[in-house]
Amino acid sequence: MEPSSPPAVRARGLHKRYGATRALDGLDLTVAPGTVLGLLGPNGAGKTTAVRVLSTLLRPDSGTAAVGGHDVLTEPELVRSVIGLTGQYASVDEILTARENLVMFSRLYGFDRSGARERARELLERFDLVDAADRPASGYSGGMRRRLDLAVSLIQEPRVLFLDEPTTGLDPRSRIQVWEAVRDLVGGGATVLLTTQYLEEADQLADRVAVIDHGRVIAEGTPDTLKSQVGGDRLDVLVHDPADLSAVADLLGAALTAPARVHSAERRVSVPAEDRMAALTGAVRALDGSGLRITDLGVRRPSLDEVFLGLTGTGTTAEEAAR
Amino acid sequence: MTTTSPQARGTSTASGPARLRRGGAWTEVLVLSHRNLRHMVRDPFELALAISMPLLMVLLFGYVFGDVMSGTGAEDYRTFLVPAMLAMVMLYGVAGTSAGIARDTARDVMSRFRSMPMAPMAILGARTLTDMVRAALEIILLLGCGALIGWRFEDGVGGALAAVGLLLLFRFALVWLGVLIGLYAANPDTASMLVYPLAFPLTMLSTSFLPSTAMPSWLAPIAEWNPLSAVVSATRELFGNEVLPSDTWPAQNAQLLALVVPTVLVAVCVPLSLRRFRALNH
Repeated sequence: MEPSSPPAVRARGLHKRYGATRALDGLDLTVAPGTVLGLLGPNGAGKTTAVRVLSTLLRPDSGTAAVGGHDVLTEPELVRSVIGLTGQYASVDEILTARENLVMFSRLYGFDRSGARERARELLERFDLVDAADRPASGYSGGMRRRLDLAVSLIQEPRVLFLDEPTTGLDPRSRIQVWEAVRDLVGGGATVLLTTQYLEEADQLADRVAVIDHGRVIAEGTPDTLKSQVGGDRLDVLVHDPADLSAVADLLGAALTAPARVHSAERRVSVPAEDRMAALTGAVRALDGSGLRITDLGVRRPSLDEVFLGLTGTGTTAEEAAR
Repeated sequence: MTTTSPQARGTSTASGPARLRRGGAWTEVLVLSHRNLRHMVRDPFELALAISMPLLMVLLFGYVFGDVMSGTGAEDYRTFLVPAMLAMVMLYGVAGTSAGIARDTARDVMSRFRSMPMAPMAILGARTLTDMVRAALEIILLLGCGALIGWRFEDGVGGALAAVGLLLLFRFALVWLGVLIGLYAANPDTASMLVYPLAFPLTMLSTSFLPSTAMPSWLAPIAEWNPLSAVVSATRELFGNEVLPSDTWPAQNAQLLALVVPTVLVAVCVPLSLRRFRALNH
């Protein structure tokens, strides 16, 4: 641990069993201050259990954890005074309005009457809820409710924010709104631990990703590192006529001096491309004037989906089967 | 109920915004009570049901059976029913208490509260406070209704206040019974649905409407020993209203029973509720 900047979240050897199920099985996590860690894993991997332990809601069977420098087991009060939590389902008072919710929770966080009203006003503006502020939350859309929930968890300006599947069940537009809110927060210096099943979400928001399965971390790194673990960049060429596939593969293999693979189902030829620009120019030069009809050509990096599926083995895509 | 340690107070002030200071458990109870009252006003169905059912029963019984029931006159039977109506309203309030607690302790809501630097126990405190305030308002309202159909307290202000105190004690015990039910109920709807089928027979199997002498001999002891009978009889005595002549022990000692039964209920329900509450979500 660096004395100058202790990790915002640090978990060592967390175990939690429910009957025969090991929800956490030796989980280790470290999140540096001011960064976003994406906790990625399939359903039942232990993501929510991890968040519940770190936010003092659940006692682990063994292991230690500290959040904001405070031990979650021995100093839960101190941990609660520096965290914010948004669960999988928005937990605001549906009968109250957004403003009433924010004032009430601000009061519970320790603001006096006028301070609570002021804080509510700030957060309503920040989360674009001013127009709906005085309507009961029961009439809100999923995205508005989630923004309100996020606003509530930011009342005490938490140093560490836990977001447990913050966009599950949201439409794409609401999802982007939540993402923007999270980016704003991190811009303001907060540390975020985010669980998600959406790889795109981790890719968009997280500085580092920890892939967990069966209650332990099976891979960790920046999204880029994880992607390159699965395989580097590659050049994909889509052909118009399936009959041209082998000709294109021969041509590219020779031009780029790398093994070209044919994926007939997708009419695609792919070649490893260590140097993205060289591969691109080489391929264009080789194909130009060859008379072969190409529908698309590009260099791409494997998605986190591929990383995830490769690591957890929870399913195969057509692409993997073809590989 | 726990308050924060001075250490925690200091830290949250230092690390959070400058205005942030723990107000302590009492402020939390008041803030949450305010919220409960808002719920009651915006979603008054349960409150309306809890008050209107007993009121309706008194009017129906009083006017339909009044002539048959009373040797002295229908009006006397109706005023005889007023203390029974008060006790019934106290009893039916259990539905509101248990539904409220079930709502507040649903997993996601409790997660929110428990992740905050507040005393979660304030939820139980606020529920108790809200429901006692509600009980006091109900008693005032129903005594007004009683006055309209001719009911009066006949034994001085002291007796009347003692009667109201007894009803509030009864209600306090029932609040904690409701808390216990709410903590074990799967959801708020189950919690409130559970109460009426239990409370209604309890009301009828008592000396609220009929003297036990009018019941079959095997049923009479049940009605006599029914705690609700004791509360109703004791309230009648303290208001100076007509009391059913009876030489059974529970009827003779109604006031004692009306003190002991709620006290026992509190002594049982409070520790069980606290234990269940602490174990939630673990």
